[in-house]
Amino acid sequence: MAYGVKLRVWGDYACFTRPEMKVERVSYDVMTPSAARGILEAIHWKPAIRWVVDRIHVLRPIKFDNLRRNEVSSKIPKPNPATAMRENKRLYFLVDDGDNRQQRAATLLRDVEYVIEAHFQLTDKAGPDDNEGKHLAIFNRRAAAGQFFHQPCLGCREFPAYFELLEGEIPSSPYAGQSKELGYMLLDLDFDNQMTPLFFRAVMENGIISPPSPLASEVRS
Amino acid sequence: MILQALNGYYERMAENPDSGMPPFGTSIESISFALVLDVNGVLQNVEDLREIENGKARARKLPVPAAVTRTSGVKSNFLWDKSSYVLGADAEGATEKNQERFAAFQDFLQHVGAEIDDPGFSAVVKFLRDWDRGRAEDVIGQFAPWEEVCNANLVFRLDGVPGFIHNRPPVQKAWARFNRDKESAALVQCLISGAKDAPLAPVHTPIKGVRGGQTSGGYIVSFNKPAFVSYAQDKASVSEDSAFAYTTALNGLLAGKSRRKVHIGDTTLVFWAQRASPAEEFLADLIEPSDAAVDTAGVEDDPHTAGKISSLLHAIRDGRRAADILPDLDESVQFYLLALAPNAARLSIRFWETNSLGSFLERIGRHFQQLDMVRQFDNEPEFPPLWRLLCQIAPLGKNENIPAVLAGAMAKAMLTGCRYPQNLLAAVLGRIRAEHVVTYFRAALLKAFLMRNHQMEVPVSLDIQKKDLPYLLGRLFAVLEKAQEEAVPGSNATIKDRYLASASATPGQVFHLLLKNAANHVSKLRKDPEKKGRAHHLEILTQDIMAEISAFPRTLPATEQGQFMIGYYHQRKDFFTKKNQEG
Repeated sequence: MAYGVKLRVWGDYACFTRPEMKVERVSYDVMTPSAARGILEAIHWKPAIRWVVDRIHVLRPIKFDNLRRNEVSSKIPKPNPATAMRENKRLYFLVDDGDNRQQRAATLLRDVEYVIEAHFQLTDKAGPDDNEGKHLAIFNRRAAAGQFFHQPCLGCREFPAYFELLEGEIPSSPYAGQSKELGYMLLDLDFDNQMTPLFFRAVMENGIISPPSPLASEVRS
Repeated sequence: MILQALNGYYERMAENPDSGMPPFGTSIESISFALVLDVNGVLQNVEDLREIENGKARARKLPVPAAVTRTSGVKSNFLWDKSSYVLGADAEGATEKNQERFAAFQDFLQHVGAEIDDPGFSAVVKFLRDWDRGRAEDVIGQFAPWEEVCNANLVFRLDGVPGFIHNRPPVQKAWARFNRDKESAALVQCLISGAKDAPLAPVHTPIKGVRGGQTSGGYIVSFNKPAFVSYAQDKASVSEDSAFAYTTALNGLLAGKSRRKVHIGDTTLVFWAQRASPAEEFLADLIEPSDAAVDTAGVEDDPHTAGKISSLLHAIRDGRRAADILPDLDESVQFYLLALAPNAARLSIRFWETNSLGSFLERIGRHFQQLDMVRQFDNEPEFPPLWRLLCQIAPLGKNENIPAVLAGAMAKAMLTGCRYPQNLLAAVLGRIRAEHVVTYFRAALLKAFLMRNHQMEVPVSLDIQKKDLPYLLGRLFAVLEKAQEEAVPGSNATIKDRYLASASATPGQVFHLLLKNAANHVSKLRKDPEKKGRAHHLEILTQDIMAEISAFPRTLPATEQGQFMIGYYHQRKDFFTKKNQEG
């Protein structure tokens, strides 16, 4: 793909939560395509473009760890921020500690490193000023300078992702020469269709996962 | 991953009719009594289905039409339920709430069985129609003790006909049709099987049998608070079939007599193989060797198995292959290992490991090889199970005082080959300091920890060639203690009780004092003609050890304190061994 980018990301912790084990979080073995998309969008995104992840390279052995944390059990009710904004009031939300606490265990990944290969497509929101060259240049410049809109993360906000624009060769994976079935994995959410989750059968060949495009017809049924 | 593997296990077991895996639409429940009716629906008898086990009557596990998931509302099961539903009365009598339940039971029966033409089924309908809830206690009491029936699950049987009414073919057909036609919420792609347009499972059956969990069971897949929902998806897209398969498989693995589970602290471990393997039957004995299994004697069912486990354990500890003992064992079979821990109404995954049987055996072997330690008493297990080790680092030696995270981490270290938890060392040393005793289990734990986490060489029994300073200090301490014991027999508090902790932590401050005291003890012994030989022996021993010690270090770090304790344990054990040989 002509407008492809390569980004190396790494971090100490990562949790790509499986949708079925979401409360007591259990991570997927590797980064999901939607998590990769999230990192790219944190660096550069405009309504005019849509990121498509082509390949995810796994550069470090898959290692799990356990963590038990105290978290909250409720969200801010949706009307609160809306009213606060409309009436120009201060938003405050009080949680009663004792009743709002949940201890949650998580099985997450340690010491991860990936290379994301992705490209983008122009959407129908692209105006006359938008062209591929422009957005590619913006992304590459921002990534090389370490700029982002919000801190990219590895699955959860509390696990920041460090990144670097990769220009040379992709380093080889510890899983080179192996093929590993990872089962069905979350591909992305179908935002046009009531946020229906889409899944694909993930296979890691030589440490590389090649997800189908979420726009492909065999994925959207 | 986890759910897929459980799904696979269900499919594998369901192919084998003897495995007891219930088919879709049924579940295994604890049933105590059968109400025996004649064709007119008149109660003829109340048959006790319970089995006597260890002198206690236990409900029988029977396949019945799948149980509904009940929380606080009234929901009835089909053709079986608790007496409050079936008879409309329980220990509290025929209350209004029970009236509601009784009505629900009848309604549900009519709803599912509207088209059933079967004498058994119509007998049940007639029985319920004529049943007087108020007299339940008297009527049932004629056949069986009411207080036992009133809280139990009941099924129906037709008098003179074998089998239960819920198992009669027309009834089963109706139940299957009901399950098929149940209006299902939505069609989704199942994330376990990948099947598209599969009916979504609204609720998953709770998982029972995890130690410390709620008795009604816990959930792996659950979204019981708003904070757990993302993108408005408050249900995992799992199809009904897959949800049934994985919960049934896991409940089967966790069931009472299952040979495929092990409890370690608050962690419950289940394992299964990708294809049938004899190791599924004995792996639990290798992970947690029971005393009976290793000591061969006293195992009633199969002495050969017990002997085999023992020789298997020895083989894998010595680094030999299990296939030498069991030639037909296929070590390449994939094994799955799932460690669960309860967290309120949910279950969390402690760890999950997939590997070949061979590498699991190798890791277990390495664990026991690193734990291998000369025993203080012969009745102590040669292969200490984890729970006994963990009790040794819990206050008062009680199971419930075991630090929760430690138990899971130890099991993980044993089975995945990763390091032992870092706080193990501090926990063991803390216990030794508090109790002034270095037991076999504690010494074994210290040895395993130092070997695996610090790559140290630690001998199994006393090694007089070993010149590590902390080890020598530990030995010296044991010798000084021995001198005191012989010189002042029966003293209340020996130097062990007073100085074990400080001698290991700050030898520079303590040993001078101890050596001065020991000189007095030895000279006292020398004056006693009977003990003169002992005095000489202890003096030589002290000198030999002292010759290797150039100076007493001011402090010892934790790992060296561990070595100190092992040196002390070895030397002390050595004194007793020699004594036994002389006597």
